[in-house]
Amino acid sequence: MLILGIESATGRVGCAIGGHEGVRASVQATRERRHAELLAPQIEAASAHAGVSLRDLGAVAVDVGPGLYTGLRVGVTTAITMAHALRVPMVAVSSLDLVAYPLRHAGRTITVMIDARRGEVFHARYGCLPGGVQRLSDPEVCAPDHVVSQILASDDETLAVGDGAVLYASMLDPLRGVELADPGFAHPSAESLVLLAHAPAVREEFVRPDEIRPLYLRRPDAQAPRPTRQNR
Amino acid sequence: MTTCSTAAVDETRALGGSVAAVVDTGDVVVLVGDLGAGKTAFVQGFAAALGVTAPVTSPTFTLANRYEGRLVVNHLDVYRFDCPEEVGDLALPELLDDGVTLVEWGDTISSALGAEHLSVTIRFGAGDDDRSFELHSNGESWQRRAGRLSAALEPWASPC
Amino acid sequence: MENGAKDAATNGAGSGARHRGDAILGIETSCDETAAAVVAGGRQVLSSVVSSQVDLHARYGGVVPEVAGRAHVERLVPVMSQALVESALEDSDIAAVAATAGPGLVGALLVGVSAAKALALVWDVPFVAVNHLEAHLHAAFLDEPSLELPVVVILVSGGHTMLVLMEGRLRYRVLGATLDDAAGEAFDKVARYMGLGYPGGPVIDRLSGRGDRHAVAFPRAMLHDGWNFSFSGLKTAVINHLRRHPDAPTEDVAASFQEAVADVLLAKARRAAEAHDARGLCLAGGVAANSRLREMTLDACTADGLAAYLPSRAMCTDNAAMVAAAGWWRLHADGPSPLTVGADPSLGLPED
Repeated sequence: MLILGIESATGRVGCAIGGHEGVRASVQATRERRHAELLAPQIEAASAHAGVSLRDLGAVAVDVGPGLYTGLRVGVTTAITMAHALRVPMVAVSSLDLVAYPLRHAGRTITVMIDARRGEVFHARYGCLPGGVQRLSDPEVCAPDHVVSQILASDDETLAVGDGAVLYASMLDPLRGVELADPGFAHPSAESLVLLAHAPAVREEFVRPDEIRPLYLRRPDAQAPRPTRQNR
Repeated sequence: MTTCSTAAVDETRALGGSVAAVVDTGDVVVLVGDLGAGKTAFVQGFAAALGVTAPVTSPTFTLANRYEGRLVVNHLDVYRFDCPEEVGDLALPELLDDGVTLVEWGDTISSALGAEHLSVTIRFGAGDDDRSFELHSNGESWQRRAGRLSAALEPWASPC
Repeated sequence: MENGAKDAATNGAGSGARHRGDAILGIETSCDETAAAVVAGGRQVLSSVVSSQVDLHARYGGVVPEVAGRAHVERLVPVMSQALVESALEDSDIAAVAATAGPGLVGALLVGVSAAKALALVWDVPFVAVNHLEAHLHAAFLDEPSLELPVVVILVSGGHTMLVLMEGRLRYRVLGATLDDAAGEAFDKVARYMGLGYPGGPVIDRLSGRGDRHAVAFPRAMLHDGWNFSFSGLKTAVINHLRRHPDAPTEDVAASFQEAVADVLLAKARRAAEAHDARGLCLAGGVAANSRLREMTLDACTADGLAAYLPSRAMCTDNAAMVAAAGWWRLHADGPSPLTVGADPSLGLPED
C-alpha cells in the first residue's frame, strides 16, 4: 500500500511517499513560518519523484504533534483534506514517536524533547524493541528540569534527542549516563512517518479524517462552547 | 517605580515610543487602565518607534494583533480573561518568544505572563486629556534596565 | 474583463448541466467563520455553508486567534463536504478551488489556504488565492445581479472600514479608510464600556431602536475633510460622556453613537458618489447588517437619485460564496495562483 506522510510539527516541514519497499521519495525543508508556502509544492514534487499519482495512494499518514501550533495545523489540515478528497483512511503518529524511531537501535532509553517555546518542552521517554521503539511515558509539556529529574530518577542509560534536547543541552550534558544524539536527528521526519505508518496501515489500524485531532497538549480545547459569562 | 504624566494623546504616544527604546524580543509589557485611558495610544507610539508602519488599532475585535517592524510587536487585549489558565488559549508560548508583547488589561493574568515584565498603569487626570503613568519593573531583566528606562522617560517625569 | 462580465451575465442562470466546468469551491477561514460554498460562473450560488464560532469567542469578548485556528481545523472538512452535497455537484464538477489568503488572522487563514491547495492537488484543478476585501466587494453582486457600476461601496466590518469606488468587477479604487479603529471595533468597544457584552454591533443596534438618536451630539470626525475616517475620537467621546453622566439613558447614548457612525459613513459615501458619478451606493461587511445604516443608506439614495444595494445579512457577513465569486473573476483575469502562495495577514486591496 502506498502511503503519503505529511509532517509539519516543528520548524521543519515535509512529506514522503512510500510503501512496503520503504520510502520512494521525500521532500523536506527547514524554514520557520513557511510551512503553508512549502508543503503543497513538496507534495507535488514528491509524487512526481516517486512516479505515482495521488490517486494511487492507499492511506495518508500525518504527524499530529505535539509541536508548534501554526505549522502543525498546516500539515494536519492538508492531510485530512487530502485523505477526505481521496476517500482513503489515515494513520496518526505523534511527533515524539517520529523523533525516537530513527534511534530504535540505540539500545538505551530514549528521551525525546521537542521545543515548546517559553522555557518548556514536549517530552516522552521510549524504550528500544526489536525493530522499533515503545513509549514508556505519556506525552507531556513540561520544563526541561522536570525532564532532568526524571532522567536522574530512572538511573537508565539515556540518549536525549530532539530540538528541545539541543536547546537545553547544557542541562543534559553534565548528567552521568546521558548522551545527546546527533543534531541531525533533532526533527521529526516525513520518512520516519511513512516507515512507522506502514505496519499499522497493513494491520488496517486506521482513523477517519474527521477523527484526527492535533495533539496540542495545552489549552484551549476548541471542542465545546462554554457559557458566556456576565460582564465584569 | 517611575511616575510620569502627559497632557495629550500625542504625548502618550511619544511616551510609548520612549519605552520601546529599552525593549527586546521576548519582553512583556502589561498595560493597566480604564477604557479610553490611552493604552492603545501608548502601543501606537511604542510600535512606531520599533518601525511598525501599519496602523495600530485596539485589539478589540481580534484579541491578538501582530505587527512587523524592526521587531515583531504583539498587541493583546485580555479584558475578559479572569483566570490565568485562560491565557493558555492565546498560545502565549509561541507568541511571546516571537516578539515584544504588550498586553492590555494584563494585570488580572500577570501570574501567567511570567515574573519578568514591565507593568504600566495609566490613570485619568483632572482634564479630559490629562493622564498619569506608573511604571513598575518586575524581574531581574527589567530591574537591570530601570536606569535606562528612567532616563528615557525623563521628559515626562513627575514627582513621586 | 468587461467582456467577461457580459459573457458571465448571459451564462449565469443556466441549468445544472451548464454549471459543469465553471463551478468554483470557495473556502473562507480568515477570522471566526468557517465557510465553504459552491458558486457557478462567478454568480450563481449553488450552496453556501457557514459555521460561526461566535459562541466560542463570546466568553473572551473578542476573537482569540488560537481558538479560531483550532476550530477551523475541526470544522472545515465537514463544512466543505456539506457545501458539496448541497450544491448537488460531484467532486469532478469543480473547476477550481478558491480560498481567502488575506487579510485576516494568519493562523486561521492558513487552514483554509492549506485545505484549498490540498483539494487542488487531489482534483488536479487550479488553486486561486482570494483577497478577503475583494471578496466582500463581490458579495453584493450575488444578491443583486443587476447591480450597475460604478458604485461606491461602504465596506464596514469588525476589522475594516473603507470607502471603495468600484468601476469594474476587478477595477476599483480605495477612496478612504479608517485611520484608527474599524467601525465594528468602535461598536464593540462602546458596548464593552456600557457593559452590553460581545459582539457589540447587534446589541447597540437593538438598544438604539428605543433611544433618542439626537440625545447627545457626538463628534463627527473629519466629516468634511477628505475620504478617510477616524472612530477612535468618537469612542473616547462616548466614554467621556458616560464618565460625566453615569446616569445617561443607555438607549440614548447607544442611538446617538450609532447615528454618529452612520452619519459620517453616509456623508462621505454620498460625496464620493457625486464626485465620481456613481450609479449607486452599496453596503458590504458585517456592520452593513446595522439597521440604522441600512435605513440611512436607503434614504440617502432616494434623496440623491442613486440605486441602493443592500445585500442580505448572510452576504454582508463573512461567507465563502463571495470568495468563490471573486475567485472566479480572478481566475479568468489572472489565471491560477501558484501553490507557493501563503497567507498574508495584512494583504491590501489590489488597485489598478
